[in-house]
Amino acid sequence: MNKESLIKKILAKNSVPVSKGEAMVNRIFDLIKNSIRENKSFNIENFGSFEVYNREMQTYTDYKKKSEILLPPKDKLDFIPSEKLLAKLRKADE
Amino acid sequence: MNKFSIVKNIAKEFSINEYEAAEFFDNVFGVLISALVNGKNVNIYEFGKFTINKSKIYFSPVKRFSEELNYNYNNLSAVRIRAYSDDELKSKYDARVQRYKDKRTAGTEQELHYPIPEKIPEYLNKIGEEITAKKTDTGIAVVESPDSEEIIEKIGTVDELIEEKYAGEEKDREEVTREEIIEKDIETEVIAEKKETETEIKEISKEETETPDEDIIEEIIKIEDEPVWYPVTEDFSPFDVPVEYKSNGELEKFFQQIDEKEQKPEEKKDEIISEESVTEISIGEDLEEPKKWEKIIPDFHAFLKKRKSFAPKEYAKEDVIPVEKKEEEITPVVEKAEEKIIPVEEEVEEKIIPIEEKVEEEIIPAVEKVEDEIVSVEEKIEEIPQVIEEEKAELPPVIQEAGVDVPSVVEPEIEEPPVEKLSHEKEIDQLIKEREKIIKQAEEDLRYKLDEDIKVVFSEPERTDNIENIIPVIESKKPDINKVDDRELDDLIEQRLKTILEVEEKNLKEFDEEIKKLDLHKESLPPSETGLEKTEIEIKKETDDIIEEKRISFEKEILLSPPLEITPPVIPVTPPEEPVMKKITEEVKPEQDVTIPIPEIQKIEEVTPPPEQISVPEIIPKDVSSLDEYIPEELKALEIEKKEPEKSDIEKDIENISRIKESLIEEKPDDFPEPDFQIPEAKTVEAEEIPPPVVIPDELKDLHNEIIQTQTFRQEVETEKPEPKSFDDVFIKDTGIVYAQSPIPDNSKIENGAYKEFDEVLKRWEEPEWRKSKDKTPLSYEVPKQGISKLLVIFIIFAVLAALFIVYIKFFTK
Repeated sequence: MNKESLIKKILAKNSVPVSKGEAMVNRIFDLIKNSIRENKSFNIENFGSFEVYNREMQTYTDYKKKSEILLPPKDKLDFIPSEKLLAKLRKADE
Repeated sequence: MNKFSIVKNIAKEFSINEYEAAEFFDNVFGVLISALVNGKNVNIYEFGKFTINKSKIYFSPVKRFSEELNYNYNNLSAVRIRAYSDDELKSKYDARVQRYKDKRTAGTEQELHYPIPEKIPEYLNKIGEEITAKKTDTGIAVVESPDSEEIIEKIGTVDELIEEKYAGEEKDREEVTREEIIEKDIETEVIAEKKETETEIKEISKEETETPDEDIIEEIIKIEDEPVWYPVTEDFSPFDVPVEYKSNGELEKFFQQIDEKEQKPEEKKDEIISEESVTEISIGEDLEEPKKWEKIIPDFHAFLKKRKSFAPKEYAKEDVIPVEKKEEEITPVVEKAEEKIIPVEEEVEEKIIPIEEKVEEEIIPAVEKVEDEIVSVEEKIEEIPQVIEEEKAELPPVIQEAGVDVPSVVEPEIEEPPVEKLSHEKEIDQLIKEREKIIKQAEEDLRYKLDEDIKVVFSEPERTDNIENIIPVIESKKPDINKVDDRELDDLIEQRLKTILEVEEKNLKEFDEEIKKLDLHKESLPPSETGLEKTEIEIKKETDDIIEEKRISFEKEILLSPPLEITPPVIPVTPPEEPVMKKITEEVKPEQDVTIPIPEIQKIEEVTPPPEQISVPEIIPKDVSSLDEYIPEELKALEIEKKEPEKSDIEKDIENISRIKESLIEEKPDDFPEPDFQIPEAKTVEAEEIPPPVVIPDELKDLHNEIIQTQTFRQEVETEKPEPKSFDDVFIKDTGIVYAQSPIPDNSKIENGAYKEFDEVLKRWEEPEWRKSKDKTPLSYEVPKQGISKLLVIFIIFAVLAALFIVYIKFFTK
C-alpha cells in the first residue's frame, strides 16, 4: 500500500477535500518524526510505539575477508507493536 | 509530544475542530492497522516502511530519517581489527556451527510443551494428553506418546551444566555466556593438538640427531625455517558451504578438497614443460568423447563452403609427420610447410587431379618428341654452313689480267628462281618458325608479367573525391627537404645570383648608352633651337594674352554698365509709353539695318578708366625677337614679379640644361665627332600675323574705340551663343521680339513656376490664330472691375435717396 491509496481510503471515511486531506496526512507524519527526534520515542494507542535505542559497538567475523571487523555504535529506530495489534495479526493468521 | 498535541496542532493549522482532527488521526491509523492485518506491507513516503512476516511487524525508516537520528555516529565507519588464518577460521566456523546447533537443540534440554490443537486426528493422540519432545542430534523433535517406552531422559538444564564447568572458578555465573564456554572448549582442543605436533617434531629431531645424515638435516632445517604458509583461497562465505558438508564429519572433507585444489596448480608451476611431452600428447586419443570444438569443425567447413571460401585442409592422421623427424631437415620442411599452408578447396582439387593425369599421360611425351626433333634440326642447321663452304671451294676462281683497265661493270642483279625444297627441309622450316613463335610468346608473356609487376609497384591509390585519399598521394610526391644536400642549395643560389647580376649589368649598359646618345643630341643642336629662344617667345605670347585680356575686361566693363538713354541719330524710334516691346523681325539684318546705339562721349568718359593706364602698342612689328622694345616697362615689371615666384619645375630644368650646355660648348673640342643619326629639324615657331598699323586721328579715337568694343561684343555673342534658358533668350530666338526693358530672368524662378504665364505663351505661340489675335491687339485690356463697383455705389446712393424721399413724403406730408 502506498501513501496515495492510504489517503484515498482515509478520505472515503472522512468528509475532507482531497488536497486538504493529503496535507493533513503529511503533517501528521511530520509531527510524529519531530517528536521522535525530540523525545526519542512516540506512542500511538492501539498501534504501537516508536523508540530510538543505542546499539553499542560490536565485532563480527567476515568469512569472505577472513578478518574480524569492529562496528561503530548506532542509534536505531525500532517499532514495537501494541499487544492489541499483535493479537489482531495472530487472529488474522489463524 | 502526544497524540493530543498533534491533534491540537492540526486543528489550528487547518482550522478544524479538535474532534474532527482526532477523528481524522484515528482514521489514519485505523486504515494502517486494517492494511497490516490483511497482510499488506505499507510504505509511507518520507517516513518508512512497515513489513509483515509471520505475524510480526518490522519497521525500516527512510535513510534520511535514520541518518538524522544517528547524527552522533554518522562519521564513524567499520574497522578491520584482526586477520584470521585458515586454521583459526576453521575453528571459528566450527564454533559458530556448534553455536547454531546448540541454539536449535537448546529447547530439547528443557521440556517443550506444545499447545494442543483442538482438531487433531485420533490416531496421533488423544485430546488432553501431554506430548513431550525427545533430544535429538538434528534438532527435530520426535513426537511420541507418553505410553511408549522411550521416555525423556533428563540431561539437565543449561544452568546446571554451566555450574559443572565452572565449579572451580571464581567467576559469577551470570557474567559467563554460552559463547565463552564453547570458545574455551575449542581453544583447549586446538592447544592440545598443537602440543602433540610439537612433541612429534621434537621426537623426530631427536631420532635424527642420533643418525646424522647431511641430507636429512638440511630437510629438517628447511622445515623449521620455512615460514608458515597460508594458501590463498577464494573468498567463501559460510552460506556457500553445501548442505551435505554441514554435518560434523563431512565438513573437514570439504576443507580438504579446497586445500587440494589450491595446492595442485602450484605443483604444476614447478614442472618444466618439455616440447617432446607436448608433441607426444594427443588430447583427442586420450579422451573417448570428442570435445565441443571438434564437433563444431564440420559445421564450420560447411559454412565456409557456402561462402565459397577456402577452408583449411583436413589432413589424415597418417599424413601427419612427427616433429622429431622434421627437426633434422629444417629448410625443406619449411618449404613444404609453405606449400601446404595454402588452403585449396576440395572441389578445385578434384578438378585438378584428372587434368594432371592427362598432362602426365599425353602432353609430356608429345613435348619430349618435339624436343628431340628440335635437337635434330639444330644439328642439321649447324651442318649447313659447312656444306656451303665446300660448294664454294669447288667453284673456279675469278682471274683479272694485270695492267688492263677493265671497266667496272655493274652486273645486273638476277633474281634466282625459287628452288624447290625437299620435304625434310620444309619440316625444318616449319619447326624453326614454330620455335620462333614459342620464343616470341615467351617474350611477350614475360613482358606482360613485367608490365603488370611494374603497374602494381607504381600503382597509385584510387583517386576519389575524398581528401583523405588525395593527401597521401600529394605527400608522397613531395620532395623530402631533409634529403636535399646543402651543396645543391648553394649551387642553386649561385645560379640565381649570377642571372640577376647579368640582367642588372645589361640594364646599366643600356642606360649608359641612352644617356650618351642624349648628350650627343644636345650637343649637336644649334643654340637658336634651344630652350632660351623658346622662353622669349613664350614670354611674348604671355604678354599678348595679358594685353588682350585687359582689353576685353575693359570692354566688358563698358558694356555691363547701366543702360543709357539712346538717341537714335538716323532712324527715329518712338519712345515706349507702357511696358515697351520692340520688334525685330527675322528679315532684318542687324549688321546692316539696325543702328547701334552709341553712348554719349561725356558719359563714357565718366565710366571708362583713363586711356593712359592701359597703353596698347600702336604698332606691332613682325620680328618677334625685337618685341621687348615694344613692351611697356610696367608690364615687364609685372611679368618679372609674377614669373620669379611662379617658376615651375620644367623651367628650372630648362635653366639647368642651358647652363650645362653652355659649359659643354665652352669645353667642346674642335675635333668632336658628329653623330651618325639624323637629328629631326626643330620646328620654328612663327609669330602671329599682325595687321598693319592704322593711323587714327585723335578726334575719332573715341569713336573707334567704341566701334571696336561693339564689334568685339558682337563677336563674343556670336561665338558663345548660349543655349536659350531664360525666357528672353527663348523669346528672341523664336519670335525675334525683344523687350526694351526686359528684366533679367532667373532660371530658378522659371523652374519654380514663377513664369508659368510665359510658358503658356510660348506653348500657344505656335498656334497661328492666337498669334494673329495677339498681333492685332497686343495691348488690349478688359474693363476694369472698379467700374462695376462705382455703378453699384451710385445705385445704392440713389436707392437711399429714394427711400429718404419716400419717408419724407410719408411723415412730413401727414
